[in-house]
Amino acid sequence: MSWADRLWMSIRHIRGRLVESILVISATAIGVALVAAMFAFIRSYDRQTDYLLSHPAYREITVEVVGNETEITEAAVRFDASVSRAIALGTDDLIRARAGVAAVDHGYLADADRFVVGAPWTAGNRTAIAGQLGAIGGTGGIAGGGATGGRGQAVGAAEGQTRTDGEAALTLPGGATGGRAGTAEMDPEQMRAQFEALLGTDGDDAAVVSELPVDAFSGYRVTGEFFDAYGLRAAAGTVFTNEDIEAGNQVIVLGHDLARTLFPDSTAIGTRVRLGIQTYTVVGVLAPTGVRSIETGAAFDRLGFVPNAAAQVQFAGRAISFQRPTRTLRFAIDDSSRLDAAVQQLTLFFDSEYGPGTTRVTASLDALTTERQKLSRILAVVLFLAAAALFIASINLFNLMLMRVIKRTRGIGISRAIGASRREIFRQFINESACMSLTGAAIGLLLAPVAYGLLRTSLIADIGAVDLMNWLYFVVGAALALAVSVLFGVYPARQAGRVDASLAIRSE
Amino acid sequence: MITLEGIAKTYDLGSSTVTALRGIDLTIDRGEFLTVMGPSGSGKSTLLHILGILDSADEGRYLLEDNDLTTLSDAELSRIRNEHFGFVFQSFNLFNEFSALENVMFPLMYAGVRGSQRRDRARALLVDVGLEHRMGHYPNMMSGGEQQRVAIARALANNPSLILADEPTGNLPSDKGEEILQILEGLNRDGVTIVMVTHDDRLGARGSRCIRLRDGVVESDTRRAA
Repeated sequence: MSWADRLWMSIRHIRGRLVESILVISATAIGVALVAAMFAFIRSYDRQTDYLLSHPAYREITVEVVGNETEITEAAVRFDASVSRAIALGTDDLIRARAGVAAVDHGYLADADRFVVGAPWTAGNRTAIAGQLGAIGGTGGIAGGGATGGRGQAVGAAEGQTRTDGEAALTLPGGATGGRAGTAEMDPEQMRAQFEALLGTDGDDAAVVSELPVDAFSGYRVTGEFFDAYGLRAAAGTVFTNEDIEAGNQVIVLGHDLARTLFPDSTAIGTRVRLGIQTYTVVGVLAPTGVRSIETGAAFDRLGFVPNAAAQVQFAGRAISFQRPTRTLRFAIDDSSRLDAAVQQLTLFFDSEYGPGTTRVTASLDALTTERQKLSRILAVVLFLAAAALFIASINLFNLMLMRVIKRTRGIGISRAIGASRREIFRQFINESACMSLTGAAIGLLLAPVAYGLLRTSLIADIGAVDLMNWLYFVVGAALALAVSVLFGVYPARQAGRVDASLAIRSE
Repeated sequence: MITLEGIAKTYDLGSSTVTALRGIDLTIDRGEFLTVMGPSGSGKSTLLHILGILDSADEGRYLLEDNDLTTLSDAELSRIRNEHFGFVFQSFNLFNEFSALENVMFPLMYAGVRGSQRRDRARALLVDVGLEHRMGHYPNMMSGGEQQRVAIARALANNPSLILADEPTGNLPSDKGEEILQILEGLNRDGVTIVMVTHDDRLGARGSRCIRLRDGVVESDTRRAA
């Protein structure tokens, strides 16, 4: 008997018992879909975890002032005697911590930002810049109040200069016109004159590029050791250092792809670009890197990096820019096994600096590990449920086939009488159950991405760096589920093969 | 053609055992029309099933054309049933979920006859038994006589040399039974050996030879002069 004949007979028998067959096929489809989805999901999850564990951001330890974070679990108003004095962390803390804490390898600032190409008085930029200034003016004002009470004084003493200079300077463009709406309506020439009075002119104005192929790009405001911590190397030129920041150099380092986009035909190094009120000189272009931002998923290849403005105020004589108090100091270790020691030492250091409980030292890795452990347990439960669904579907198939063997006992006897061997009967029944399993598996494979999508959206956050769709694993998962399902057809088929033909025919 | 030597068969019914056959010696020659008679429980059907190697004997030897079948594998026995034997049953035993034509195609399918050849052969067989207008019909849409004719067409699919019929007219009105008997007699004239179980004395007398069983032994063996 050919396989085509066997298939034809299977289809006829399945059609003959259509409703129960459809039910069994549906159950198999659900079981297969869940198992395939789980298979693909766990693979994706592992890959994501591996990626995250290898990511520089997870060798990072952050130090924040308690009370500065906005957490929805916190009361809107509270009195806490231990946090009576406002603290702002700054680059000086970074430098002292680096000197005082042996366990950390890098210390830096890294704040995400977006850079608008062109001068603020350029027609298209006025609204955008005004919005930026409005937002910064707001935060600057609040934070400035805090800073002057705390670290600001210390800095003032050390540098012989107070931050209020910066504050005053900042509020001028926005404040003079009374906020963002005013800035947008301001006469471009008047605006330019004000900015130039404040910042000085660009010197050789012709050398400044203020039109680029893109209107804006994302990046980070960082300090020198950021590049080391993230393993970023310059392919051309050089990355900037803390000395550059101290010297007040307005420099920018471009990601590999960003440099190509901005300067497709010429070399980027040495070019001066105007980004809002600031003019930057490109000093370096990074070598291609696989690193992506954990928060936004943006490839570092497409980002720009400028000196962290908050640091600049502290070191610079002349540079005046946005006074954004640093909320987060970042430290990194090269070897994550020293993480606990580093956290301990940093906690000791900041507790002795500002008093216990005023700062919070967090290792992102700890949070990740905790989250992943919790998720792993959930996954184990979901995996169990998926396997249970497949198991139940397979048992249904098993029961259905066994019932068919019993119902068709006489037919088996007749088949044997007209020349079917035991082996042929076995094959016929295994073919029939495999047809149902296969149909179920095929439908299940189509449903699997839906189940997968549900699992993914409800269980893990998407990070751009890891492509989470993996058809191979769907197929492998579905194939395994199919194998299980087919296996459950073996016993009924063997029973069919064992039917005593003589007795079967006589059972009238 | 067939030689049975000391065939015995006992059924184990759990608490008790039933001896169906106790030492049957029987030789069937090519071209015979053998009728098997006897009261219920005398072992007629068991003998027929053993002859058709649907069932195996507990003791004794079965020689088909001098070959001992007791040593053959299930696949080999199945091939013999498929190619050399044809079964006709009292209750027709057609596959109700398949059409008349498909029913006749089954033995051809097991024999590995392909596609159009299989279909043509099955059509020809149904035409031979007078069912050219019933090919696409399902068994439950046909009369008993028609069903039995489909069963005969199916039994003849692979040109068997032996037809084993277990009360083929038992479920039919006498006129239809007569039609079936005439078909069998026609086949016998063409050289097909026929073994027919019946408990109708008139039918028993139609064969060329009649054996009577009682309590699992051959009680009498009478040949009718040709």
